[in-house]
This record gives sequence, structure tokens and C-alpha cells, in this order.
Amino acid sequence: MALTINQQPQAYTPVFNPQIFHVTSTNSGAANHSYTFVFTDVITGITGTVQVAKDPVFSAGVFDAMEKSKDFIEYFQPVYTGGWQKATGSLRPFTVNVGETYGTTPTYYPGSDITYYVWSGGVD
Amino acid sequence: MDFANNGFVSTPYIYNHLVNNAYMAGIIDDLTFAGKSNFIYVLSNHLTGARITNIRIIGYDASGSVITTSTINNPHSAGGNTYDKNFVLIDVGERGLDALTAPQVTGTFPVLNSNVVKYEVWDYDSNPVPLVYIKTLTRGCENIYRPMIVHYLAKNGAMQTATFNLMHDKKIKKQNLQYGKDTNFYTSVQYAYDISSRPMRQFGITTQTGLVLRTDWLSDDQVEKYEDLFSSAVIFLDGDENYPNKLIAINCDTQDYITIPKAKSKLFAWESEFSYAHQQIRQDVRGKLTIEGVSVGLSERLAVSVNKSIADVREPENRNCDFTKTLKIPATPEVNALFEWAYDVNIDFQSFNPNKSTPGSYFLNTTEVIRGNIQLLAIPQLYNHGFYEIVIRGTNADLFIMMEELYLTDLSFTDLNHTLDYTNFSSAPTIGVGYCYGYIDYGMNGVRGNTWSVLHFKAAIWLKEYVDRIFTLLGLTYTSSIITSTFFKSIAVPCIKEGAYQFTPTQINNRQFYAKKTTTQARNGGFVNGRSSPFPAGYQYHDFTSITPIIFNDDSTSPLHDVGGIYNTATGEYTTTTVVQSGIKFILNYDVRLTIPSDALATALTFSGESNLQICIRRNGIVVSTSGINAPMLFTKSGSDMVGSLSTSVIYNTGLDPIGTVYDCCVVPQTGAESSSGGFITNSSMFNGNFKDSGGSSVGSVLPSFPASTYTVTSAYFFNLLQNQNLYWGDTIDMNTVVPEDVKMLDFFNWVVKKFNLYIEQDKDNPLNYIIERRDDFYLTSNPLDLNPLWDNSEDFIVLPMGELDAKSYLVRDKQDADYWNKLYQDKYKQVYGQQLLNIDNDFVTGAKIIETGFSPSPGLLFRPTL
Repeated sequence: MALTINQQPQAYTPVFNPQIFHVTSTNSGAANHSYTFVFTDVITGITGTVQVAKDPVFSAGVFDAMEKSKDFIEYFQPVYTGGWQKATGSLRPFTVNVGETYGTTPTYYPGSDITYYVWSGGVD
Repeated sequence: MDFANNGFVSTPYIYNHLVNNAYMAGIIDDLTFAGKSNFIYVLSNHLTGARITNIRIIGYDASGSVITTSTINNPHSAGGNTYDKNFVLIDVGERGLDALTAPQVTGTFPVLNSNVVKYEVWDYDSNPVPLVYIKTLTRGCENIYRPMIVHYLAKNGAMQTATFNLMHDKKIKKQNLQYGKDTNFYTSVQYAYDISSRPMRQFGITTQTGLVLRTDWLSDDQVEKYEDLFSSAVIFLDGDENYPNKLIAINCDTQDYITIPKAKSKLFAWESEFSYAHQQIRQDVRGKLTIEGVSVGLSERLAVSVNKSIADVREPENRNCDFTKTLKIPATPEVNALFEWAYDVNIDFQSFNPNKSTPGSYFLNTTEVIRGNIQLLAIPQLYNHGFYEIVIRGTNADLFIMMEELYLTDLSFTDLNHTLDYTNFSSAPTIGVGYCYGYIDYGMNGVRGNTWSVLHFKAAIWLKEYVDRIFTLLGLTYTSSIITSTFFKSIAVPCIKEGAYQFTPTQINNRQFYAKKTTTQARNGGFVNGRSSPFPAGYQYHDFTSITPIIFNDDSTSPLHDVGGIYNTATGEYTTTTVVQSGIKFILNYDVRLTIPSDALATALTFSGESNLQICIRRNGIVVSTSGINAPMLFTKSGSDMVGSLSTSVIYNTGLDPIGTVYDCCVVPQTGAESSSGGFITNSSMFNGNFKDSGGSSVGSVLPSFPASTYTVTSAYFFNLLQNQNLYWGDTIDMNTVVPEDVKMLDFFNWVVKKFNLYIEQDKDNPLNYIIERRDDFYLTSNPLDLNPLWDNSEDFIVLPMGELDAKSYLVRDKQDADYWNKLYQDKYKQVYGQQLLNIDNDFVTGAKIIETGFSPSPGLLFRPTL
């Protein structure tokens, strides 16, 4: 197992809280090594890729997905109707694939998909 | 958040009836009013817990007796274990309960009747605890002031409700924009002013509503709720007199607040200022910027009319864009996604490219007034606030930006290729279309010569043809009376390369070949003992009489080539397909293996002799070049054979060969050659010598008949190189060779703009079309507009005498050149052919300004007699 995910957000996390992924790899000594985080808002399918250089001391990669997931959260505006309503868009799944890129010709190696849920809160 | 203990714990916020009845909002006792809402939010974890199933409303009358009991089922509690049902809310205010209908509610219905003065909200689940108390809502009295209810995004992500039931202030701020209007008028007898006219007029008026809201005395936990409101980013006012059933977006304007303690009490009052997030508009227009169809926020309104510039007559070289505007746009979520989180230096862009322009438009109301391209200049340093700095550039610039990296040689003129002959030269051209021939002295008939051959002329491409092809290449069109005029269509751009037309690399490749013999080719023969006199005893010769072309079997394996198919690997023949002059070379490597008669020459170790052959290049079957060899050859014994080898080559330089001339190669005995060792060689002898033993003595003075021996070509080459790369009569002219090299398309077009003082405007009805006119046509042929009625005379204006004059003299000219006739003219007259100097009669402005194109003139030779 090359990649070890040491820290990840809770299954349900307020969107404005830090959503830290801390990862280490047995390949961190390889040429041109970096950690690759591919984030996806599951509802819209919009995705992005972040390359993170390894920490010089621990060779770890740290990525805070909050900066990205907060751009997808919606503040549900209640409607005047009786009964229960769903706060659509204010709770949404977010997936981060924790991978790495290395090699003389840098090659991307995807890792595990981690899906968690963010809601419109900012508590800590 | 506690990072040391691995982060956030969500348990206090997640509802699980089996473990923890956590409610996201709405758990504080509150007032409720007719037509107002009050929300309870519940967040469940579909991975680990159950959802809330029902709530029960228990109503009390003034005496405290229960008079109503109603149960409201949560339809989202059932069904699949998916996340989307886990964040739910219900309006338990009077508005929400009054809106309930069957079968949403069971029990007492309607939920509230006129005798209910307060009601409790319970979490009603049969297992394991049937009822869990949530909160009590007391129906507020009808104040003399309208109670104001505010819902806001709380820290925990739910919409919390706050009540302001004391007197509130409402104020309206106005902003107006006005302009001046000349209202004087003429009659036949007077010039007058009408008192009812409006010399100052309102262009636009906007108003914005502000509120000052106040609470009653609050408990500590209620104060905490209002503090949350104070810093909330999303706030709604629950209706007003104009929109009673709307959530009206408002912002909290208060930057600090003070809690006011009630005397001898722990209670506080809270007061804050709010403003409506929208403006009321009268007679105004609203601006909107869209980037790739996404509406983005703007920190300012674009002053469209101010920045729209008119082409500058003084600096035509700068006519490349009619407007630019630098803007800041807030880093909202949609803009972050649009620019793919460009603030993150680690991001890998997927589709957005900061090096490329992004289409954008600016609208006033629904009218698109600017269509341009967006360039991202700077990105915010912070991810959650700040601004992107962008520049929106008029797509006029596209015309020039699209040309920027292109060269004239990127245009293709191959459709104009034609044969170099009299017919094409002498046919009448259609002006402006294709090419033409003119009497331009390229120095091929001797400078100032009087005798002209077709080969002395070179084609010139019409200038309009260049312009047309540039626009076609860019996917654009133009509308222009100047470019389509007979005058413009009559201008041609001559070929600027000196001398005759030259073959293109392709044409050269089609006229050259390089073939190799990679297979062995053996000839059998036999040794015959020295014939009759004068052969001395001990001499042998090798019969070889046939003359057969050498077959070079490979002309395609790199670096071998025969692009034009002029060499035939079956017949060994090279055939000219055009009139061509080249050098031809034949290189031969061969082995000779002589089989030794075992009986008579058992002691022979070497065959010491000479080669007596020649290799030939034949033209139409006649030997035109030979290379003979009388070289000593030493054959060494290899088994029962004597083996030797030689290499040689021959070259033939052709004249101008007509089409269909055939060349091949062969090897023949050297006719009449004489051995240096004294032997005489017959016409069929290719080798002669004698066998020698280890001591160097000749062996076998009298030899028997010999078995067959072999002569083997091991490798050979045949190729030609053009010695004259000039096109000749009948060759095809590649018109791409006529185009000037290393000339940027942008420079070329700017030269045209300068030369004819062109004004370029993008067609407002078709952004892919450009209107191109000369200055005078641009201003004089359009329908004149009287701007006086539109003039805002409330603003100052300044009249500058000759305000655009920036030089004492203007010199407009083409670029001077160093060819024979230009130099002759320049040396004689000290000026560039065709230049024009304009001196301005002005006592104040100094300096000279030169406006120069990149074209060079082709001087007419009318001045020649004066030389």
C-alpha cells in the first residue's frame, strides 16, 4: 500500500470547517513526487485537480478541501409551504481522490476515493 | 476545532432519535405572529442514524388547558438510505402551521384555532421515547408596531429565526443621476425658453430601503442567537408591507453593537441596522457582466460610452482595439468555479486557460452593449474574499490578436499555381482576383535590358487577394468600399525575390532520386589460358562480354528516395519528367571470386593482376561518361577460390535535358586497355594477371580449361543532384514561393491600414464582420447624426484649437529599399519613391512625424531618361 491517508474529514462536516486530508506515501522518495488530489462535487460532477508538493520534513501531503467544497454549497431558502421540506443543496456529497504523481516522466497514479458530506454550517 | 485530536466532531449536530435528539435550529422558546414563520431544522446521518419521523403540536388556551393535539408526519423519514433526505426543516410558526393540509397532519385540524394562546412542539416518536420536548411558541399580541421577523443562516448551517417586536425605523436613501438639456427653441420671430421645459433632467433614480430593528429584553441564550445574526452572511426579512409573503434579502449594516442592560436585571435589548439587498429603480438601467454565459458580480458599473474610442488619426499603428476596461469582480463561488480556483497555485487547470481569452459580455438591462474577451490579470490572495482583476477587451482586438502570431506564409496560394508559359503570362488578369504579370525588372535580362523573355517575368499577387485570404483564414469577413474599389483591386504585391523562380523543396525532391543496389548481381565467366600471341605464357583473362544495366533495386529506404518516381527499380533507368539540369553519379563496389582449377594450381596462393574494366553512365543508350580502372588487384586464396574487391565511381553533368531523357549504368571491359604488366587485353577481358605460389613465382604456365568464376556487385549507388534550381518553361509555379517570407500578417495588415488611412470598426450586428473604410469615407458617407439633442450640457467642455496637431510636418512614405532601381532613384532624388511631405502652417508646433509602411515602392521608370 503506497499511500496512507492519516487524516480525513468526518463523514458529515460543516462546509466552512477545515476538511484536511493528510497523506503519506512509500513513493515519496521517487523522482518528481507530488500528491494529487482530485476533488469532485458529486451533484454537479464538476471536478478539479490540485498538485501538492510533499512536506520537506515528513514527506506528507496536506490538502484542505474546504476551499473548494464551499463553492458548491447552497443556502437553502425556505419556501412558504406547510410541512417538512428538504434543504436541497445545503447538504451534498463531495469526493476527493487521494493519489500521487511521480517518475522521471511524471505519471499520475490515482488512489482511493473518499466521499464525505458537507452541510452549510460553519461550526467548530 | 481541535486539530490535535483529529478534528471536528459532528455528533452534537446530528440527529439520532436513538441516541441524541439534536436540532439544528429553532429550539429556543419564541414569539410567533400571524403570517410569520419559525423554522426547526434537523440534520441526520444516513450512514449511522435514524431520521425524525413526526412532530406533535400541543395547543393551550388562556387557562393552560390542552385544547389541540396535532401530529405532523415527516414524509422524508421513510424510503431509501440516501443523503438527500437528511437535511430537513419545517415551519412551526403560525404561517407554517396554518398552511398545513390533510394528510400532512393528523389529530386536530386546523392545528391552531383562535383560542390557542401558546403551543408546544414535541418530537413524537414511538420508540424508545414517545415524546421529546423541543420548544414553546407564544402567539404574539398585535402590537401597535409591525413585528419584524428575520431568518438568517446560523453558524450551524440552519435558518434561524430572530424576532424584533419593538418599534422599528424605516428609511429610504435616494441617489439620482441627472443631465443638462438645451431647451431653447427658435421660432420665426424669436429665440426663447419655455418655462415648462426641463433643462435639468433625471437620468436615473435609485432608492434603497434601510431598517433599524429593535428587540424586547432578551435572555442570555437569546442574546447569543442575535450575536449569530450579527455576523451572518445570509439574512432574510420575513415579508414587509409590499411583499408580505416573500423572504426579502437584507444585509446587516451594523459594524458593532452594544447590549443595553436593563436596570437590576440580566436582560439585554438589541438594536441593529439593516438594508435591503436590492435597490428600487426608476428610469435607470442595470449593468450585468457575463463571462462564458455566467453572470458575475461587478464592483462598479462600466462607463461604456466614455471608454469607446474613435480611431486615432495620428497613430494609425495603434488602431487595434476600440476599448478596454479593467475591472474587479468579486471572488464568488461561481466565479471561483469559472476560473477553476485560479487562486490556488497548485491547481491543474482543466478547461480554463489563463493564457487564453474568455468570451464575455456587458449588458445594460437586456441589451448587450459590449461583446469582448476577458483576460484574467490578477487573482485574489484569499480564497473566500477578495477580487479577481480582469480586463475586458473589445473584440476589435481579436482581428489583430488573431493575426499576431501568423505570417503571410501561413496563407495558402496553391490554388493559383500555374504553368510557366506564354499563355498564362499573356492572358488578361481579373483585377483583384488571383495574380497578374507586370513589367518588373528582376535583373534577369541584364539591368535595363530591352529584351524580355517569359522567364524574366514573375507573378504578382493582388493586394486584395492577400486581404481576402487573411480574413478567410481568420474566419472573418469585411465590408469595405475601399477594398472592393477598382483602385484598391488594381494594386498588386510583386514577388520580392530576385532572380528567376526557384524550385520549391518539394519540386526539388520530385526531380532528384537516390537509389542503391542492395542485392548481389553475379556474372559468370571462365578463365581461358593465354590466347595466342602476344599474350605471354602464364597470363589468363576473364571473359565478360555482355553489357547489362546495373539494377539499383531500392529507392525508398531512407536515406534513399525517389519522391517523384523518376527512377525505375525494374529497368534501372532514370527518366527526366521535366526539363532539368543535374549531376549524375554512379558508385560501384564489387567482389570477384575466381575458382581455382585444383589440379593445376594447387600451389597457387594469390592471383596478382589488374582490373581492366570501366563503369559507364549511358544517356538514351549511348555511353556519355566512363571511368576506367587499371588498378593492381591482389586476389587471395579463400578455400578453393581467389577473392578480390574494388570500388570506383563515375560522374556525368548533364545539360538542360528535355523531358523523357533516359539514363542508366553498366559495367563493361575496358576496351583496348593495356596491362601495365605487359599483357594485352582483349575487348572482353576484365581482369588479367597470373597465379603465384608462396614464393611469388608464377604457377601454371600452361593451364587447362577453368571452371566458372563469378563477378559480383555487392553494392552500388546511382543518384542525381540538381545543378540548376531555376524553373523552366513548362514547370509549375508554386505561388506560395511568390509570398514574402518572414512578414507577419499583423504587420502586413497594419501597413495596409497606414497606407490607406483605414478606419476599422466591428460590425455591431455581426461580430465576425469588420467595416473597413478610409477616413474620409468613414466620416462622410455615413448618415450624419446630430448629437446636439443628446448633449449633456450640464458638463463642461473644452474646445482646443488644432488639438490633434502634434507635428510641424508629416512625411508619409513606403520603406526605402536597396534594389537597383530604388537605390538609383533614392541616390538621385534623396527621397523614397512615392513619398509625400505635408508641412503645416503653424507657429507653435515643432517636430516632424514620419508615417511609414513596410511596403517598398516599385519605381516607375519614367525617371530613367533623366539619369
